[in-house]
This record gives sequence, C-alpha cells and structure tokens, in this order.
Amino acid sequence: MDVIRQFGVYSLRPLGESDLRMLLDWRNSDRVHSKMLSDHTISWEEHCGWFLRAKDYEPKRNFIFCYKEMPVGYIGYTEYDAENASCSPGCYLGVTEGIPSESGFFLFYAAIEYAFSNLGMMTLETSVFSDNREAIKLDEFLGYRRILGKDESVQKAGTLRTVFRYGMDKVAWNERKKKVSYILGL
Amino acid sequence: MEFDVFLEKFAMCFDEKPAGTLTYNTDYHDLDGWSSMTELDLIYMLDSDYGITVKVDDIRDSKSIGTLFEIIKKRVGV
Repeated sequence: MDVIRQFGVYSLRPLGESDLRMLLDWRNSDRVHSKMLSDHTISWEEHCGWFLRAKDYEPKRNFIFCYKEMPVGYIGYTEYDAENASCSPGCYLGVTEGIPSESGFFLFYAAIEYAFSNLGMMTLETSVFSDNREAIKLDEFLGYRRILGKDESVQKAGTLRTVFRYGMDKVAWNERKKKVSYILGL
Repeated sequence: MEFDVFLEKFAMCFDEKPAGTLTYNTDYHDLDGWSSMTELDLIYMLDSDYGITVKVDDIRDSKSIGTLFEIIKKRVGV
C-alpha cells in the first residue's frame, strides 16, 4: 500500500481491506477499548460495514500508522466538516512492544500534522477522558488547549465518566510545530 | 550545573520514585516506570528548569543519566 506521508521512520498509508482484522483486534483490545468513549465492542459485521462506507471517503480519513513499514497504529478523522474545515482526530497504537517508547509522540504529531497540512483543516477538536493522564499530557504538549464549558459525561463500564474537549487551530499548530518537530527530529 | 540537583529533578519525572539508588551510571531505560510519559516529563523538566529543548534522540541514545547530564550541561554552557 502506498505511503502518503512520511514522518522520519514512521509513515502513514490509507487503511486497506487487508488491515481490517488487525484493526478490529487492536480496537477491541482491553488497552484500546478502555480509552474509547463508547462502551460498545465492535463486531466483525459492524466493522466491515463501517469500512464499506469509509473506504470511499474523499479525501481519505482512515490510516495505518507504520514504524519502519510495520503497522503499529491507527489514525482516523471523525466529525469531518469540509465547509468549516474542522474535524476530530483519533488515534491509538495497536502495537506497543518492539517499538520505540516515543512512538506515541509521533503518532499524535502525525494525526495533527496530516489534518492541517494534508486535509486542509483549520481547527481540530478531540475528546479525552478526564482521567486519561497520558493522552491529556501529550495533547497539551502538542498544543491542544482545553475548551472550557464543553465537558461531557458518558457511561463507561457502568460508571459515569467525565470527558474533556480539547481544541487547536492551525495558527497555534504552526507555532507549536516548530518546537515539537525539533524535539522529534523531524 | 550540579549533578545532584539534576538527579533529583530527573527522579521527579517518574510517577513513582524508581527502586534503588540512582547514580551517574544508571541506565534509565532499564528502570521500572520508564515510559514515554516519563520521557515527556523529562522533556518538560529540561525545558522549564534548564531552558533546554532536548531531542527524543538524545534521550533515547544516552546510555545513562550521566551521559544525558553531560549533554545538558554542554548545552547550558556551564
């Protein structure tokens, strides 16, 4: 599958049909599922149905994140609004063993950079559980700021959980990107 | 730039204080609790406390706390 964007030894390529089983296994793993806002465990039929719709999106909005050409994660964009040039990036590592500890930095960086530079977005928003310290720290490091007044509550595993909403515009990213790119050696 | 002060700040980047004694020669990659989040806290700490923007390559390639300290010391210029 063709690489559409390179980030050092990491790259993005469009999600293909042959990735579907791997992606569902990642998505339904305890580690990834626990961080998702939805409590729903996705069935194979639902997954295939989603892909049938998503594969024709233009521009492409679902990608496999690779480390040295090995698939290790997923990046997808939802709440896609072409008119207002906004969307919500979501991403996770499906593989955590045998890859550099900083791979998550590159994953989050790639999700933001691709949205602004390749999809032409002007604003991004993302949702995260208030107790997901790792994601919040990484989001803030990359330049996201919490949007006050947009907290939500969702039921997750029988518990009411608070969800924070974070946002960033392209101007802020272009400023922050210089420092982050330097840190990542890009 | 004192190594003892650096070491104390380094240890605070961990959620839980690493077991055992941290020394100049400790390979921090092998420490329990070393993770990408520790790495991120370390990047923040070096930026806020020393004014140094460090690359992830420097953190990954440094073999010990002392090696990293020497890189930072050289960058700080003291």
